[in-house]
Amino acid sequence: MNQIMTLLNKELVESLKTFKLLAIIITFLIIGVLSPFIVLIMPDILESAVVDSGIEMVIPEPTADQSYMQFFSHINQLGFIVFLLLFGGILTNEISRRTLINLLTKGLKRHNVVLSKVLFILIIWTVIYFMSAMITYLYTVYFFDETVHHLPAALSTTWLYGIFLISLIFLFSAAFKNFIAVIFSIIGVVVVMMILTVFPSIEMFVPQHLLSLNMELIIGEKDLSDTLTPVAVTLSASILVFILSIFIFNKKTLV
Amino acid sequence: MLSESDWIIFLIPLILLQVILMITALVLIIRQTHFKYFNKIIWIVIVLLLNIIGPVLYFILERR
Amino acid sequence: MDILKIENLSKSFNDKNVIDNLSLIVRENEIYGFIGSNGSGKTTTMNMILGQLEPNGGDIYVCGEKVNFGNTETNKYIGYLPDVPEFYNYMTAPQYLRLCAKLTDLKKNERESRIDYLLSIVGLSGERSKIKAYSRGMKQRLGVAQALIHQPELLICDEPTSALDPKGRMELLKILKDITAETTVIFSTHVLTDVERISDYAGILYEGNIVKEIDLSKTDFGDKGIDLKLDSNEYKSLSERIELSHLQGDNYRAVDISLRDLYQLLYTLDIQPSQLELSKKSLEDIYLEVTR
Repeated sequence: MNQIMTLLNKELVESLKTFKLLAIIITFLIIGVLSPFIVLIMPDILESAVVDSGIEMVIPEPTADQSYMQFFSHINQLGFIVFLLLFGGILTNEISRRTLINLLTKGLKRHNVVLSKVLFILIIWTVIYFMSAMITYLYTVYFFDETVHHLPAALSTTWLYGIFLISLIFLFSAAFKNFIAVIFSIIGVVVVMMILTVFPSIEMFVPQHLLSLNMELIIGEKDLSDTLTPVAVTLSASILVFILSIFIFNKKTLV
Repeated sequence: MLSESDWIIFLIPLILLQVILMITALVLIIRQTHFKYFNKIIWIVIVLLLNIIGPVLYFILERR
Repeated sequence: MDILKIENLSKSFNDKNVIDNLSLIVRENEIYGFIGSNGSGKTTTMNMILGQLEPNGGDIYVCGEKVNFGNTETNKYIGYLPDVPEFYNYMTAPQYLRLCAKLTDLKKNERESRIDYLLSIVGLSGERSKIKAYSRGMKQRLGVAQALIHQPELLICDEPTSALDPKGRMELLKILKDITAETTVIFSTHVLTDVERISDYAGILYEGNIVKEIDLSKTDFGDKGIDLKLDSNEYKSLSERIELSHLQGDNYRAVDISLRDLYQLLYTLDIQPSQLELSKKSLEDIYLEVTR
């Protein structure tokens, strides 16, 4: 426990000194503000386009649903990528730069290295994700009167998907030695999951399904009970992957 | 339709956040003498042209 | 007590035996020099002692406890200085040592005094710059300090002087010599003068095994022969009686003959060498002999 707290503090200092924490916070703040903004300026943009072309058409009013839809797509397209770039190397950087050798050879437990990094990255992800979501939420309730369905559940599914991606960071960091291999392996897994979600029979058992489920919850097409299977699958998959990562890292040759 | 004050409550944070990230990266680039990848000029151009991703690339490649 | 005991250790990479049935004992408060050429398996052996590399066979005991690959309890007894120690560049030396201290069993109230003490013995007291700005020599000295933070029973140094200039090398050897009061030291090197300067024992690693162990407290490693300075006539008459090997100039070496017999012979032949010297074997001679 002592070792974990010490390393947790070290991770925090490191992410501050390397400006990774600043970069991830700013990125997620921007996503939070940008998402409702794009929805609100869309009619203006459409209108100017329509006026220029001279075509008569009715421009639909923006809705609160769209605000969250924008939020989810920004997290998927920008948020996850920036997060993986900034924190995907949290373990491999230390392996390739051999900075762990000094610490491990004086009695630091290997599982404490992984646990402290897992804990740190989970805290960062949770804080920045819900901070970003909160900003989109505040703008959305200010500009739109209507409410959406199952908002906390919808937000949580994407958060859980993020945790699954984080577990993959650790699995591939323990298995391989460099950052590039980790990133490409994660991309590989995501591509495979996307292919699997095409088949309706197994869709429920693929974590990727959480990313389409969130919008269906917001617009009220799906109910909370529909989230049970994918949430249970993703959660248990993540925990298994975390445990597996620790086992692999414990027996890894680090020289 | 957004009013002018509505625009401001979006644009001020958006611009401010991007500027903070960009300025931080630029200050570090200007003070840095040896680069692992590229050189000073190329990094300045990358950070100025690529919003968010530019500074992020600089942080992960040069300041790890 | 045996601080380190290695029994029949073996390790192969891609079917090539790097370490082949190696056994070794290091006792308390010794300085043990581990001599071997590059690629002879010194680092491989050290990594197995540290539990960072899995042996193919054999056992290692540190302070009587068995080393297990991966998470080994024995590392709390060991301080390790890698050949190129890597630190967190954004920290200062005291910050780094504080991190190390917190990860070990060192008591909280002893931390700061231990850090101050170690910084002073490695000559880094008052050094305020970040590790990023350190020279190789400074990093090596900080490496010694971090390795000693938890008062280990055994300090293992991998080629500690190889990247240093002569001044840095002398400083580091002095530090290693000075700390034997509190710990046992094993260091690997391919520089024999380093071993001669500070070690009590030396083991020569060759083809995966310790081919020779040398007690350096005994300065006499045996005779090489008797060196004589002779003019051409003297050489001619003496070489008819015994075998002489030519060294350089007028210098010759008589081997396989005792000093007494040689004196007798010189007296008989009425030869007065302008110089006569008993040539002793150096560590280098032994090294070259056993690794031939």
